[in-house]
Amino acid sequence: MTAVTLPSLAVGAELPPLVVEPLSRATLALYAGASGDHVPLHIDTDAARKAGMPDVFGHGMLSAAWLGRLLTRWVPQERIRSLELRFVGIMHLYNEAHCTGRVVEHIELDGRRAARVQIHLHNQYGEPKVAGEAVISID
Amino acid sequence: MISREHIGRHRRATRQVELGQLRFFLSAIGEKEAAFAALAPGQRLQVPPTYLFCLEMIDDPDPLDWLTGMGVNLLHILHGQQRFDYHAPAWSGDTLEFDMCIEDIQEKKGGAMQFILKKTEVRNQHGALVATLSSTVIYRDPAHQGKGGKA
Repeated sequence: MTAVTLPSLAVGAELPPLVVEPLSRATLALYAGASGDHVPLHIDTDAARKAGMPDVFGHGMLSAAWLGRLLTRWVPQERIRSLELRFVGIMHLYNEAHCTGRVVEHIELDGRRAARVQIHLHNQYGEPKVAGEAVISID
Repeated sequence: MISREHIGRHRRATRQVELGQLRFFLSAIGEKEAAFAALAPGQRLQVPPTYLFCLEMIDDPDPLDWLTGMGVNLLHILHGQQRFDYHAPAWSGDTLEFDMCIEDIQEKKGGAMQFILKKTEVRNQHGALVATLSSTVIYRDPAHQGKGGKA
């Protein structure tokens, strides 16, 4: 085992951003199968149109998984104490997920220091899709 | 309109964290290195942060029957919010118990939308609390369409 070097958790520190390739139907199909979420809105264009949508669109939890990757690439997963996400926009086909985050505050949680991190996912046009917050153990 | 009588209802499920399915998930979300990592005998993969949500739906013939059972049309739902509170890691090979409860059903915009709040506690085979999941599902009641209730 190699020693894990923790990144800076100072207030204002930014997470290394994660950019994901444009959302394709193939990704939606694979995510549906892999996640067990077979809701037809995400994989069946006919069903999506019946619901008044122009086409299939991304699972909120697929965007959530990318934000999870943003965190686990930054700190060891054991340090993630909580993750909260608000799905604020539909992730349409060919949207490219840009995941970013920043430490905004140090707090105390169960008697231990933790960093409150704001995280965001927006598409290549800057339109917000997911806004959220994670709490990361400092020590 | 969903009846508030469903508040307090539980749904319980037991799930095996299968290594192959977990690799498939990691690959689908683009985490290719972990997805195709060679594992030594006895080595396990850690369940990534959002996969607990998926495990509740995987290997279930009707994972959303708690919604359809309330009369919800799945074409008119949106996932509004999701929260995870983590207490202990979960690994491939674990057996996890999911205890879901409908916490609240709230009416918005004069009934044009309803918010369904559910909470799921996840425990492992040793009885340890792994995580608590809190979800808000938004239901745009099609019966209200055309009444000016734009979501």
